[in-house]
Amino acid sequence: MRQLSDIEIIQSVKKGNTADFSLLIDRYKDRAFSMLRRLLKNEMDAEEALQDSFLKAFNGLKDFRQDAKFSTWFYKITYNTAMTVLGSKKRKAEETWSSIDEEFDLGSYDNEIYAQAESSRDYIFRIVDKLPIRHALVTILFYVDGLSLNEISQVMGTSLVNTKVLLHRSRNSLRELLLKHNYQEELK
Amino acid sequence: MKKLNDEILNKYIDGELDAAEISELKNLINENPEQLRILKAHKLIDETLPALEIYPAPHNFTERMMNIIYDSAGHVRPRVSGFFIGVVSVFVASILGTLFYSFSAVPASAPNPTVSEYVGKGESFLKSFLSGFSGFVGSENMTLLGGALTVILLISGYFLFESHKKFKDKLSGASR
Repeated sequence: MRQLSDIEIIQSVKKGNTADFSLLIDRYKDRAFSMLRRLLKNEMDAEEALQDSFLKAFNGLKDFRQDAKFSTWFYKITYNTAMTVLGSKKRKAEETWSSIDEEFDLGSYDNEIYAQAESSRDYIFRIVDKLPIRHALVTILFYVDGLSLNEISQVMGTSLVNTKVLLHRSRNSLRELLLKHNYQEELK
Repeated sequence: MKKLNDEILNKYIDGELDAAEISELKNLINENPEQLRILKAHKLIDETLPALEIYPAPHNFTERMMNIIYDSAGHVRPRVSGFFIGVVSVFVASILGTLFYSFSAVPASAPNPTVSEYVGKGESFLKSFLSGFSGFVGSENMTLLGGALTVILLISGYFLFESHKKFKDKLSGASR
């Protein structure tokens, strides 16, 4: 059975088949929730933001241009919702709004995470959650959601060059930590 | 290329080095084990991150979200089938009718009617109802009507089954 494309589902919803929107929810809810949980560091906030994001997407479907990708458009809504939640709660505001040129240091989390990690993989998964918000977001969208750097720059409203800088800086800082613990020896 | 720097490492991971640069990189890591160590660490990051855990959305999220959407858009939610409600209503009405007849058939003047009297009246009512019904069903016209109804039911059942199957396929296709 052929899988319905996002655009086909959107066309059906626009024709009045509201129930078909549940297909889009099922398709994107886990990835969007993962992203929100990592950005907001709180499950309840993440669920609330996820509801807001889907509601905004449903209400905005009439404005959705069908030459765009739904995933990029929806992740942009999700990202903006997360930023609003963070801004309104003034939580980690300096991380949220800091310049992308600003240096960051994961060293302060390193000892604790290294002590808990059972393998290099476990260590990487834990330390990614400690990346500054925009660095974490680029990394997740690139590696987990498979978005291109161009699409990520549209989601975040940053230039392509800056998006690339964020991704490279994330990789470089993670690499330095792996080298510190000699984890690269696990790679054959 | 004398040393691996961040730019070269990221270009290598992103597949942006040309053949000459890759060959230069290979020579460099063959000559210097420390450079190989750095390249391995960078590759480990790139190979591990795609397996980053995806946290599942809360239980029943889709149903709850659709309810919010229906409420916000002022839509009428899909309702329980009218046929099902009809069958349940007939069943409940027949039970209530039997009970009502049992109670009303016992004369109010009867001193302290017992439960067995109520049950006896209900039983005789049901017997007379069933014998009347079987006489009605037993007639020749009724056999024809029953046959026609069976054909209609079978055809409706087929279409119901097909539409259910289509919807199920649509759902499983979307969740893949």
